[in-house]
Amino acid sequence: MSLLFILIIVFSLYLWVTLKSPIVFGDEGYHTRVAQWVSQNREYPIWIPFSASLIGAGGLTRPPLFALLEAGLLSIFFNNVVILQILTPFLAVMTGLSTYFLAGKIYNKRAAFFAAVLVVMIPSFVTYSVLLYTDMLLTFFFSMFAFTLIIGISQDDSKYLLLAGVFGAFAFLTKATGYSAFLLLLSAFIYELYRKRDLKIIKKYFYVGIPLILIISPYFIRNLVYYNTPDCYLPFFDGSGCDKTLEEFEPKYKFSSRTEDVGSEMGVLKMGIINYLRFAYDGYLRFPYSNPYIDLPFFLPLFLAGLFLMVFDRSVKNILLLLSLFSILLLFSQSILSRAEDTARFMLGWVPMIATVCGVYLDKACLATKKYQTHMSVLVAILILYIGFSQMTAKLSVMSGVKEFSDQFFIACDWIKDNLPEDVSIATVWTHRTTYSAQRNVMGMPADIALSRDVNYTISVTEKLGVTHLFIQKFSMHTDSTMQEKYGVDFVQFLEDSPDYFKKVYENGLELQQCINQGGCDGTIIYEVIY
Amino acid sequence: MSKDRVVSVASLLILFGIAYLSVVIRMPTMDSPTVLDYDPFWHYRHAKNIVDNGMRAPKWDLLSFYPPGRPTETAQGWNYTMAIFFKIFQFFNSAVSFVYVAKLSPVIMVALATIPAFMLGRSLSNEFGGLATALFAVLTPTFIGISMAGYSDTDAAVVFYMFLCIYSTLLAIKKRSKRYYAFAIITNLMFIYSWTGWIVLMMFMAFIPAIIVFRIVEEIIHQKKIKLDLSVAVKDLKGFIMPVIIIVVATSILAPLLGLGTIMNSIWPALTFSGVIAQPMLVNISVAELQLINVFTKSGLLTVIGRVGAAPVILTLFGLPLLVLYKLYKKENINFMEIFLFMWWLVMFYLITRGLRFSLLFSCAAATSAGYVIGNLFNRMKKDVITAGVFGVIGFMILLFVSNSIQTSYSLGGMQVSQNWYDMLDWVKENADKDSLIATWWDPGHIIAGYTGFRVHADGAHCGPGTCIPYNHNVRIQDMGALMTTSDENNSIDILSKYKNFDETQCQKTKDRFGGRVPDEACDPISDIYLIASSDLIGKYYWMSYFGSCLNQFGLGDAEFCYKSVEWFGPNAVGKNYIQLPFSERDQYGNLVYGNILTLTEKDGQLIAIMNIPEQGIRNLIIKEIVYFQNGEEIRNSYEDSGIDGMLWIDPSFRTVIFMEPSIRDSVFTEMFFFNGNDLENFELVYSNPEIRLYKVKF
Repeated sequence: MSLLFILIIVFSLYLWVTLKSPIVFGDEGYHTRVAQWVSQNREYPIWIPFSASLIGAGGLTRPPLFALLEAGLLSIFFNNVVILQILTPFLAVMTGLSTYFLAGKIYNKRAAFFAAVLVVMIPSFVTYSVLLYTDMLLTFFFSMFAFTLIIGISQDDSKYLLLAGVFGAFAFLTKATGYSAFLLLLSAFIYELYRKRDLKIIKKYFYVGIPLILIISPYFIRNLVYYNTPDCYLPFFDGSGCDKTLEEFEPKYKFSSRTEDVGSEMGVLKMGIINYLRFAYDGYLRFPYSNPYIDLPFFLPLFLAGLFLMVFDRSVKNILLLLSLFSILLLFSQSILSRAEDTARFMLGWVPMIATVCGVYLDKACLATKKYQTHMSVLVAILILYIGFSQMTAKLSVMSGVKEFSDQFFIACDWIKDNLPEDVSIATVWTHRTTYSAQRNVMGMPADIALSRDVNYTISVTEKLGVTHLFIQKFSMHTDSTMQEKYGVDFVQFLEDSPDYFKKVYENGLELQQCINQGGCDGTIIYEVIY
Repeated sequence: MSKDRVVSVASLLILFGIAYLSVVIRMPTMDSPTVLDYDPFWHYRHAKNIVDNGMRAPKWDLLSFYPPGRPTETAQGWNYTMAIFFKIFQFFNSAVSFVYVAKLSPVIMVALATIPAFMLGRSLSNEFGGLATALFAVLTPTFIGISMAGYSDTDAAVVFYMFLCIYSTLLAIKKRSKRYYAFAIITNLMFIYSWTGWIVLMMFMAFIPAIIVFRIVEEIIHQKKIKLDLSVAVKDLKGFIMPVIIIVVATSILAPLLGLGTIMNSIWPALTFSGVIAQPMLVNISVAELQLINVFTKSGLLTVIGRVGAAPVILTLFGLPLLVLYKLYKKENINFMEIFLFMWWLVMFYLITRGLRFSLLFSCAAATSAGYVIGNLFNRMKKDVITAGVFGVIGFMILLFVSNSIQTSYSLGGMQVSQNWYDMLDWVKENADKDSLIATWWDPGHIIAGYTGFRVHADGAHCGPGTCIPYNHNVRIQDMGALMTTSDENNSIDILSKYKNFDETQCQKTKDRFGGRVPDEACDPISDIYLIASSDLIGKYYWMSYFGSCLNQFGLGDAEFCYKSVEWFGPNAVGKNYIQLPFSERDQYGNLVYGNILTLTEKDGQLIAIMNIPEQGIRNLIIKEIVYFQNGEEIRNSYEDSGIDGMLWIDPSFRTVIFMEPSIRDSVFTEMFFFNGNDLENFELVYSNPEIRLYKVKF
């Protein structure tokens, strides 16, 4: 009951962020636009229908479950996107609840309670609870898969093994990182084989394998039919058919980087492993009014202590939980050089298991106090609620700010919707935000347009790609013109200096020169390209 | 497979992982076209000399401290190691370049260092202790900073031999057989050959009285009464003294026979170098790594933690004493090794107070002690929730340690020689006469000699009285300081003339001292002298003016007084600084504000600099001279009714301004660097780039 109360509060706080902010951050626009298209056209397209150029288009190759779920909800709720803004907070709370029930079945209710409370308050989990990304659905299914698999194997329960197969398939169909369900299944099988040294255990794995393969096989068949490969993300398969190429185009220019290498844009190693873990999982016990400021790490040592405890014990359920975490190492090693933000996202599916390890340790710690264990349990609950709530509210406050975006941008998008024909093709760095907000075909700013200062070449590229308009956001201007997600000041100046080719059809915010002089400002410009 | 076998195989795999990690985090600098920083060029050059000279080290170094150069040092072990690495690489790939192998050499040595570190740690406790020792040994931040790929200094070899020598000596004490004695003697001789590394044997000798004192104290605690009972100590020492004496005596006999000197060659310079028994060399006053720190203050301890890592320091300073206290409480005998570890880290901890560079030696002691504590925890603790909690905290500390180490390696790109320096040095190679002497402040000397093969006036290899004759480091550092900071360029010319006109009589003094080691070329005349004024000297101006202050104050007529009176500097020398102020903001009127104390405003179309430091009584005072650039053209304004005498130089991008008080404004260096020597008659600007001005001296 107390957990339900906590989860309701958490759900309300999540909703407070999602409902008051627009669908705009990162890939939110992409996912919503796909769902809208599928809902409106009652068809799951082969090629992405809103980011094509005259020389080709990308395939809609991502695992489809999230898009189909969103599209289904939109169809049921009259295309009202509010239902999507409720979706991920709801999935997040459901993940907390399922962690409680399933971890409780593996260990006990106290460990499961601690785990469930920790899950919904871990910063990386909070981040994706308020973003319309696939990751929360993946976390939900992947954790259900891992937990049911552990129950099924450790308690020899075929019902849970069947469920594990279903949830594993759903995780697989949600996001490419869900493919690691196979890795967990394989490592569990090897462990059981090593433990029992009896091939009869294979039978047990049919319960998992058959529903898993049955559910995902249509996805493979679709990929084979449309893209000539069972999957566009797995290694060893030829993915050349995953994009449609109508005409060959050899770019002359290349961006040096995506954007500035700061904050969560940095790689994990450069950021520092501890800084990364703090960014993704936090769990520091803060004494805000202490002088000097005291900030003690709590969750990470707790997690490590939990791991040691499981290594000491080595029961089947503990080994299986450790194996489920082992698969994270492979993913971590693959993503360690990419952005810290991406690494945290790729690891999200394992957060419920990480929280369970912490919960198990806290439970044992309470148990160790013997006759005071009830008091100890209350104290621990208060401690984790204090840490959890303080880090969750801090993260939500950050996310609330992050999800805000330029008003001028939305005004410009409205202008596009009202004034430009539906068949225009816009190039900009804020691709997904524009495609959703302006409801037009949008492509990322090609390097051959952003970096060339030869007007004839630039025009020839825009014509070849079919770009009809350039949508510039003044707040994304930068003195370094070589970054993919920035407009070089000299590039915008170049557009201004070529009015015969780039006709300014719309501008809001400060005048460009004033904006440059003061080092940036809000506002946008839309240029029509004159071939 | 038995459990022990599984543990051994797992340990080897983890050790391989540690070695791999130690290599990977040192590789970001491998792309540098040359070795890094300053000192590595010295070893690179000497190792290359060995390869080029048929694997024989030349007896005389003509390029360093010319004229007349200096005797080649006896400790050539590391240079030979690099040369041997090169031969091995060449065996597999004849096209491999020497610079490639020189850059890789420290990394190879670091990877190898994991092995003796692991062996030592394991011999003291168990596999876990060995692995922790290896991890802490090779990933400590202070070590990473001086063993990155390209940092071909001796430090990687020092760490390797430190662990190897202690391990081999302990093994000999334990086994007491001829082959183990031989092993210990050989490893110690190799350490001596690589770094004059008598330190391990000195520690074992110092350990003899330490163990007596410790056992007496231990007995007092156990018996709870003050009683001088030497029986336990004597019993302990019986098995210890003889092996140590055998190793020390044999090494002391063999080392001089092999031309490696005696233990006194290590003790005396170490004590003078660290300032324990004598005035340190003048240059040591300015070496950041030799600044004295108080490790018993919070900031001092945090500095040590920053360099060595929180995990090994905490486990050493708190874990080891706690372990010993626990054993005292349990009335268990304090292990002989625990006493050794105590003494080792205490000695090294004390050495840090004599200079931060000794933190590397402390890191070896800390790594071993921390590994010992971890190994003991595995042995002693029950597998319960408390133990898991303790390991959770230690695991976190180790993760923090590894994380910081990786971050440290990412931040070390700045040790590469800049392209401007390469360009200038290329110009020298192509245009200067091969008998020219290159002079500048002392520290880039290694780079210049190593990259160009030209002779340098001074470098970072300290050359004291008795080694560099007649002009040792104390003389040259004062000469360079004075010639750069004097306002009279004739003084600069007089100082440089001394080296240009080095004659046979002076050369004879060197020959009298070193005899046949001095080659004829050592007395060859210098054809030209080139002087470098580089941007890094703006920050180092303080030390140039500090060391030049005696000559500038008393004049060249009394130069001998300055050269001989090193003690004059402590109480009397004064250094001066350029005051650099970065752009901070625009004020409400749109004026540029720098460092929140200086405002640039415009009056009658000209810039005026106004200083405001109310706490020093400076309110709205105009600086007398201002220099700035418009469309690449230098504009200089002067205000006679100003309040502050001096000059403000504004960087062409307006990002930084530099204030110069009159003596700095009028110095030869300012004229050379900021104004391209326009008002100098005896220095001809022959090469210039944004970072460096190169002058040919006209005598």
